[in-house]
Amino acid sequence: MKILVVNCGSSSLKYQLIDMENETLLAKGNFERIGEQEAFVTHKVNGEKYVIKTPVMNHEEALKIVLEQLVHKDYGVIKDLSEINAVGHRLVHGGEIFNESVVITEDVIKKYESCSSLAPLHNPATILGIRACQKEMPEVPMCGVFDTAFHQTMPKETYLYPIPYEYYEKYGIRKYGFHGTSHQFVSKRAAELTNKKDGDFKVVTCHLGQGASICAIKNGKSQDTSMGLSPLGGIAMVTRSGDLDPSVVTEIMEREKLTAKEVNSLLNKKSGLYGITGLDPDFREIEAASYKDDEPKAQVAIELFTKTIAQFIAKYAVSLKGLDTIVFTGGIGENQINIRKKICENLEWMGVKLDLEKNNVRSVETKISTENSKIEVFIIPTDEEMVIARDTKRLVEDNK
Amino acid sequence: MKVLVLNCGSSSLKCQLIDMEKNERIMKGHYDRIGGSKSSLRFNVRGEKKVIEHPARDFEEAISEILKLLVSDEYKVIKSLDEIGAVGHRIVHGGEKFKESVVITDEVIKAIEECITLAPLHNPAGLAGIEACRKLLPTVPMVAVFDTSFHQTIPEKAFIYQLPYKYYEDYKIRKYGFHGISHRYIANRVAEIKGRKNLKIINCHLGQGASLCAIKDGKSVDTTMGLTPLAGVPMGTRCGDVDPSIIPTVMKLYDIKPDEMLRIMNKESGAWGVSGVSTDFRDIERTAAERR
Repeated sequence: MKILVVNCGSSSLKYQLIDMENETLLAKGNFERIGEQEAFVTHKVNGEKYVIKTPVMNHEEALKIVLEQLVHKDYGVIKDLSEINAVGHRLVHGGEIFNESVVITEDVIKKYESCSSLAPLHNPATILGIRACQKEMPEVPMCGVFDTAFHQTMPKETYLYPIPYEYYEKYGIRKYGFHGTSHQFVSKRAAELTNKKDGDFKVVTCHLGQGASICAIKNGKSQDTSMGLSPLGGIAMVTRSGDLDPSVVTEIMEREKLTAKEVNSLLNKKSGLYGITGLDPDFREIEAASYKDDEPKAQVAIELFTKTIAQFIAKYAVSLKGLDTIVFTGGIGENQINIRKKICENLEWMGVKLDLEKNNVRSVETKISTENSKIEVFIIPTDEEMVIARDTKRLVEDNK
Repeated sequence: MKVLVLNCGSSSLKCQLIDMEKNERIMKGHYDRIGGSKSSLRFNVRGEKKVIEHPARDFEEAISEILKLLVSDEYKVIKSLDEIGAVGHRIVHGGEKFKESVVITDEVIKAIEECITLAPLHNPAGLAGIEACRKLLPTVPMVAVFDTSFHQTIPEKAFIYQLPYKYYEDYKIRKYGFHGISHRYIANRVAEIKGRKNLKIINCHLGQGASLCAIKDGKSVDTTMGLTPLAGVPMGTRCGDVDPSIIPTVMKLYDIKPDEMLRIMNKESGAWGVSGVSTDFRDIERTAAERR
């Protein structure tokens, strides 16, 4: 079975074609700047990169070009589009309606649309992707895999905010959490890799990328996570603030005469480590600057970032009433050696001991704690597309 | 030496007269609803409790009434006001200026005034108390003790917010922390009990307002409250730290302004907001137990 995984942003379309017989990647790519004259797609096959610049007005036109690449006479990976057995869509906000992946029907789309108020930028973009696939591949079954669904197992005292209850009842304002497919994937993998053979398995997964979130998982179920109503919550990120003293938000609004929309954008795009340092919003650059003597703000930013992550890990050890394993994943979690080291140094008192030699790797599945570390630490490269493809395969086969 | 301790809130005043030699509280009082016609003073002298209904239009009238009471024939707490050797004022926000308690001078008053924007309800009340004492007890030295100063040892990585740095530079928006007087007292007391100072302590000050403080070797290294006492753990009516996207979301849904949003987060959130039972923790706890 071959599955096309689609991940749509408001002006982008990422895709992977995966052969599920041996879970191999056949081709992948990213269509950027959809709707502009400068639109282009970067298509990758067998390590070769093909860049096709072509203006497309919408996701439907973009998908058409992508499908052409898949059956291209020179570098195509399938002979005919009929070889695509199913499409798996990465969907963002499933609200309280979706607690697992689903086969996409008109009813599902309608319910998913009703969650759009919770993710006004992301949900509508992914619906464009669904509609484009319906047009171009009307016979192919589609599944939706939600960023939020994995976290629907959080208990009520965790997902409720201490604000008037009415906000939850009327508008669904609560903690939802994101990066669910990633947390699920790496925690499952950690359970396979761990030395722990019996009893409860308690793991904290750190998905650290441009967006970053931490998740407390017990026996495969999310118990708590750092992102909240939106992906702005939790730890400080590259451009997002994470959790704050809420009076800071109203204070800045008053002082700078900002509207709700403006302050939201400020907290999402101009805050975090970028806000503190004023450097480029690129984590590697900020980290590199932090090792220079004349960049005190970058030092503070990196200290704040690593300490907050360590604090969340400790906090989630409390939620789980114990901790067996810590997992690092995501661009920063997989690649930034020193960041992992700094985070784990903050946790030495808990019995976390990093093997510095083993930690000296990038993006390789590795156990990086010492043999006598009380808590195991792993790097597990995430693969959200594979989770989407596996769920899609399972659902399509079940539905036959 | 006898010290008069004053703690002025927005419309109330708490006071104590303490004999420092005997380490004894001679008088304890709570003046409520200052500024209204129903103001009253509850006080306790040597175990005897009294309530006096006496309108006080402002802090000066309230403090004047308390001083009168101290030397009155009826209570004779002290023979003469000369016995008051000093006045200690609890001041909420000392900003980054005050890292410890200080003797109050004109310069200090000016600096406390400059912190008003950081505590618009509390600092003016504290200043009013200082002004009143200056008039009523002009020769008595006064000292300001700040809620924030104990936390001035918090390192930058813990006090800076993950926001554009200019908000710290321009408006001094950062974590300050509160309940410092309580956290400091407990840190010292624990050191006394343990007989050593090199301790790692977490103090949980849990009241209607609640904050936790991480204390290493007697110094605050982090605390849960932030720019204001709204932050940190959920409280009786305050929400504590939350995903900040909630604020613009609720503001848009209900079409409300920042000051109204701030009021909701301070007064209608926390355990009260979730439960709808009461603003008093004891009621909520009881109800939760009954419904179990």
